[in-house]
Amino acid sequence: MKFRLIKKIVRLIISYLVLIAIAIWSVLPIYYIIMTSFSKVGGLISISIKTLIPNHIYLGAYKTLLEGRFIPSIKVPNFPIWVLHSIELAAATAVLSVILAMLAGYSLSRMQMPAKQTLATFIYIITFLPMTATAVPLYLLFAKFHLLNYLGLILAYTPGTAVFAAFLAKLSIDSIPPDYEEAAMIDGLSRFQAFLRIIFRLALPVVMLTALLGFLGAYMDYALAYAFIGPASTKWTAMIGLYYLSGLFNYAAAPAYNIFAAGAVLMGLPLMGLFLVSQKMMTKAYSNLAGIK
Amino acid sequence: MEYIKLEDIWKTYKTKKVVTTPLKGLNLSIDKGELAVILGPSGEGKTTILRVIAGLIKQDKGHVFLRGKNVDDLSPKERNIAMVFQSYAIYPFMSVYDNIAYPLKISHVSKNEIESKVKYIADILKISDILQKKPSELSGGQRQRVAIAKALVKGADIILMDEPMANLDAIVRVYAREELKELHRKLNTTIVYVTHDQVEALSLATKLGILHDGIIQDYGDPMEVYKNPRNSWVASFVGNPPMNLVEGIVKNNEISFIRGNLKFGLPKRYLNNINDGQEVIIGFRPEDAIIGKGQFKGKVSMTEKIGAYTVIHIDVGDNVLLRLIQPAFANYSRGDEVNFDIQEDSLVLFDKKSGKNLLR
Repeated sequence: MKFRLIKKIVRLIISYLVLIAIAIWSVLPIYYIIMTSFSKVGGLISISIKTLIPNHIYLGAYKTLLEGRFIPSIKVPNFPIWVLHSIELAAATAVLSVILAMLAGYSLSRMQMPAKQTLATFIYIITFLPMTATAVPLYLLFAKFHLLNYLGLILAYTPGTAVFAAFLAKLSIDSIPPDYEEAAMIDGLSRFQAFLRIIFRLALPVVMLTALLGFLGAYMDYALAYAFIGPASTKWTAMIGLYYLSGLFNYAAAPAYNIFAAGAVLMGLPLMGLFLVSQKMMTKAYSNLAGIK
Repeated sequence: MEYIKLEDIWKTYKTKKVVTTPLKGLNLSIDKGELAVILGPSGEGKTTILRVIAGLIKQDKGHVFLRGKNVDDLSPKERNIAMVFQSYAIYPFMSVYDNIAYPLKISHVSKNEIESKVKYIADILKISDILQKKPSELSGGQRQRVAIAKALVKGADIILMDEPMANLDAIVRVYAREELKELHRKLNTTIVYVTHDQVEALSLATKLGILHDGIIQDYGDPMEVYKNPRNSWVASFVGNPPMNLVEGIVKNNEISFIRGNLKFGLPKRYLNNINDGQEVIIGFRPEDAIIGKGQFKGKVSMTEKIGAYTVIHIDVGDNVLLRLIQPAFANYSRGDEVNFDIQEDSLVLFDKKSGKNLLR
């Protein structure tokens, strides 16, 4: 009896130790970034236990980002406008990704067409290829079509999400009984209306997941944005702006890591909001795709 | 008046490997106000018929007429019909009220009118108290009512029902059946109802259709279909246990079993429809036999006690088994010699080659 109790306690202690270790492992970098953003030191901070607990909080990095005007041709504080650009790009990418993914997913799931299975497999395989690898050919191609602008960026970002999401959408729509659409068509909707009003609603978790992935992909991108709109500072996105402001853009300058960290925190805020709002949906999406209901 | 008419309907489904043709030149016409039940084995295209009538799929060949008009090129929306699905297809993200109101909402009916209509229908179906609930909170029986309410609310005069009682348990099903009959009497809509359940079909139908091999084998009054089926396949399908079917031959105004040692006098009504020497299939219902006395003899080979009645399998020689029904608890056991008789006016004769009822 006693031996059993000891065994149970030891087991609990070991599990908690492992859990705590993993928690520290995953939270520490974020904590480090947040602490750095409140520090005064512009250069690389030496990592020691001491620096992890700040003596005083210094908001200079945030002030610089929120109020600073570094590029003379932009008449408003630079960084916020760049974040706004990023959000615009990301939102457009998200919307376009959802439309493409749902249309493709619906046809792959419901329509009769030759080589459907092959196509679905092909789409699945394509998602394994790294999107960054397409930067150079995309640049060359889009330069020819005068698409080295926001429109081009959106067009370039979208497949990165939409292709994978089309596969997710197919799986999700597969699990929706066709009776729902047919009932809707008898209720008085056309097939397309039934798709918009019924299928979209029933597949909402996957729609949200697609939107989120699309938003994230575009919001976090540096490589394609730098290639497409690198020279035009008025059009920069938050990512490029951040690299520039923290001195990483220019190798000769001393890197200002506190600015970089503050920018990362600021950029993370809209994402955090998005995640909080859609958390319930996301849980549904994952369990839906895993077949758990 | 023919309210629903299907004319030479063909439909083939092709998937990668399998080609199936559930409908092969199907003809059917249903009069206004009927509750027509289509009964058939699983996977023979019952649902396909409904989908063709509804316009959800297009037939490969043939024409669909609704209310006397050809509707081949009309969308489901334009055909103005309602349908109850086997799965009920109630949208899980809407409340019961919104589900029922949805067809009206789509056609831009005013809010007040929607409310009064939904309330009226909910009252008829006794679901007024669950209107604010979500479908996931409902029981099977309640879901079925909601699905029927949704079909009724549009006021369509043709309602298609695809095994709406398949997901109900046995007791609820009996009540649901009665209620549906009552509802049909009250509203006098034309209902096409498909099912594979014999009891349901026989008890619900004002007209019964039997689907097999892609065509309607028999269509008419349910008791007529039961007692006097149009062909031997219908005889072997309808009823539990089904009709006894034995090969026989007509000679000198007598019918005798080809195997087994049984002979009848030829019933008078057949005299003009039969030739001497013609091979026939003799059919009679298990309940039309009298056990315990009579001219025929056989050996009991098995008894099934169902409760309300007992099915007795009688071997009349040469491996010919007849199934007879004895009311309540019969005291026969395997090996007993039994006398029995068959009521002559219940005999149905089919042509052996074509399987057709010789009188119809």
